[in-house]
Amino acid sequence: MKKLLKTNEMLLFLLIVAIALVFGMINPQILTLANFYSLIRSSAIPAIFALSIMLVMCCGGFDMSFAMIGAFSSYVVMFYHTSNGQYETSIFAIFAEAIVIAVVLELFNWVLIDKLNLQPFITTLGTQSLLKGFLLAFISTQYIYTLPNQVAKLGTTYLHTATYEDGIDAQLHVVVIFVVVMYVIMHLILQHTNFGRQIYAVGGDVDAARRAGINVSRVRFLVFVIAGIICGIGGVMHDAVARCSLPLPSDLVGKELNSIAAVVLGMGSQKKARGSVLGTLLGVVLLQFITGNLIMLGIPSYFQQAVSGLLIFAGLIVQMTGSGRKLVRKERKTREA
Amino acid sequence: MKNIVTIKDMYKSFFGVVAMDGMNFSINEGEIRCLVGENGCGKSTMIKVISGFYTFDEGSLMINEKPYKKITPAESIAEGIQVIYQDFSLFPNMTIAENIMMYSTVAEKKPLVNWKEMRKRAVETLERIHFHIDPDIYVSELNVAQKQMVAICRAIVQEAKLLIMDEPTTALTTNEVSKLFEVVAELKKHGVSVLFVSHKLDEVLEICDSITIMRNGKNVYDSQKGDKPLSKEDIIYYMTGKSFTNVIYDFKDTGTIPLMQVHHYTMAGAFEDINFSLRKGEILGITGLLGCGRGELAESLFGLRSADSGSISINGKDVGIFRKVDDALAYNIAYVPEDRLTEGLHLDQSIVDNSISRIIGSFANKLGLLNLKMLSAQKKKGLSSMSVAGMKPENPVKSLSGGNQQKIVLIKWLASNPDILILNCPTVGVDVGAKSDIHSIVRNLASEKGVGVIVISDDIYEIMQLCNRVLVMKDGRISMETDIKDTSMEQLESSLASNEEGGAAS
Repeated sequence: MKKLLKTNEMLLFLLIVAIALVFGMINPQILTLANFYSLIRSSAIPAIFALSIMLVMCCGGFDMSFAMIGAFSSYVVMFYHTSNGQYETSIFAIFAEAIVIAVVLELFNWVLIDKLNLQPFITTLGTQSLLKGFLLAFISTQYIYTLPNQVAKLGTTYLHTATYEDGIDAQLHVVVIFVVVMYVIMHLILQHTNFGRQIYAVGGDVDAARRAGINVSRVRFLVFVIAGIICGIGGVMHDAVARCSLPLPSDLVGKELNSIAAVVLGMGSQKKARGSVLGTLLGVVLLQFITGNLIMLGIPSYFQQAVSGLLIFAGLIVQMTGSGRKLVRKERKTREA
Repeated sequence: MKNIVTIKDMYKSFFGVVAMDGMNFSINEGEIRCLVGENGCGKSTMIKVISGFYTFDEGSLMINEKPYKKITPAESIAEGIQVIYQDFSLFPNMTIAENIMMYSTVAEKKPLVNWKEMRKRAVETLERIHFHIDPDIYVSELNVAQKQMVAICRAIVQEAKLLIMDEPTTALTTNEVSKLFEVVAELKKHGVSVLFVSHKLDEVLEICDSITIMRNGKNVYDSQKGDKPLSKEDIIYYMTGKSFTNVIYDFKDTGTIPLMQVHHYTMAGAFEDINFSLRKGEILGITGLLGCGRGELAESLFGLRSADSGSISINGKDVGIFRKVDDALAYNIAYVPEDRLTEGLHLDQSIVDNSISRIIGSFANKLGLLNLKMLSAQKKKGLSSMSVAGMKPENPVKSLSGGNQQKIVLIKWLASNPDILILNCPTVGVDVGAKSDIHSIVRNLASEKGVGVIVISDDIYEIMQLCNRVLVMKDGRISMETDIKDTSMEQLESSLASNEEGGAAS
């Protein structure tokens, strides 16, 4: 029990509960089922993308291009089908096509990072920029508002509807199932497979991983493939939930930093840090809860960015003091002893 | 008896630089052999050949009586060869249990992980070497000795037949070293061979059955089990090809006022009522067991820690207590820290930039702009003041060996022309050749420039070689003070040994 209390996940959970209680006291609407459904809806896409970057960070890499890859692959698929009038294309085909494109693009990252040994952060920033430019220059600059029918249908499939006090409906979007399934699978991979151990090993120390007989290059290859699959799914889900597809996905690109922040929050602090699926989910929820509910607290919209920034700092500090500082102090003590 | 590894007439060169030049080596089942040699003599190259990370150019390699033209890391592990590197190659983001079982998990190639089984085997292994610790602790939270034990456990799980340990005692305390030796003896009982790569000669002599000494890429001395052990002087001779003479540092007192006087210096829990004086041109040794307060004293003399009471006089003038580093710098004191990697050097920066980092501020004008001409003159002057083998000034400092890194730390501090130089364990992890270089540099400083030097060290041999006077600390107090010419190594060692009980309790 004591151990459980000390975990980073528990700390994040308590932090969310505390913030929820404070917010709820100011505006009781925040703690309604309807608002909960809204939270899920707004968290779903960041949660999917956070899973992708978490996996890459677990193996010691970094990716700035994941959101762009997701947006790119989905837009290209939507554009191809809609501009050819293929509005009846199966949803499975659309997912499959987007996944293939996203995987190819992530493997481009893999070649640059693993084979050419380039610095991951800068490299993937380059990929992001390249894709953005490619999309605008060679494919299209048009918004797609009429999506293939099955995608549109996916976008409006709800599991349950709840109503706010003022009569506005909020729906539990079907995307939540995707998120849960992906998170469960990822948890199983990371925690219960040999491959999962190898991912953490590569993330812990590359040289040590090589000495352990791990094929580092192969592990990274698979990691980027899986990251690509997640991005592909995330891209299509994003278009479905948003009910349009944008050539310049300003609503996705730029958000990758939020996903990264969520992953870092979920990892906890110091060297012990290793990404965990639950931690990432809680990190996403925490960030979305804060940014999503400020408007309901009556904070003017132009203050929201600043306030959410401050709250993120506060959260990070609480969390670091909880698990991180102690660790540093302990380390110092053992060194001195 | 079976040979685990046999190497015959091995040659290996890297881009024309010869690393192994006709090396011969063998180790038997259940043998503890030490491999000693100066940095760059080819020790690590040989280990990397055995463990499959390097190929060799000529010669033969037999492992478990099977010849190999080349061997991959995986094959080497499969033959039961386990290397524990200085960095231990552990995964900080995993628990002890995970780390112990990591190699087996990878090797067994089962798709799923059985946590229960993994934890059980890890606990059993920890038990086997009597290491009592919670297997769920993350490795990043462990100290060096504990990490080493985890690395040993990992090798045991792999059913190691030969355990190669690279500089295993460098960062350990005396107690931890003896614990390590117990574990090694235990392994030997189970028929595991251990190859100890070390340049701490006392320990080499204590633990090994046999010894191989390397110099310039080949073995220059091999002993077998039961041979008469070499003396330390002989080992040094084989390692360096030079014999070292014990000439006591001849100190001639010139000044009347001591350079530095320490009165009743006290820091709660570390040291108490420390009194000594240091004269111009003197080399004063301070020794004692780990935990006797010598480290804290050294740091407080440089203002890294603040003493609680007492005072320091510089040239007869009372200056009180050094509360921060600037206080000490104001009196032209230089300090070479124990841990040069984290405290003394900017590892990723170039050698030349490190060499001027202490005094770079003095080359700036009022606007904060640097006088580059004077700076480059100083760079040249500093780096030419001692010989650093294989140095390219633009390379990062971390590309140098331990001994050469320490020389750069010295260059950096000497650039400020200090009056007082405090050396905290100056030759930890430094090989014999570089050690004697450093010693002669320090001696010259004292005798020619009149610098007062304080050397804190647990290496009695070093104290004897370097100093003219020594203080022995025990439980935070000075228990003995003597001129080197009035004492002997044996006497000093026994004065430390009589401290053992008190030292361990504190």
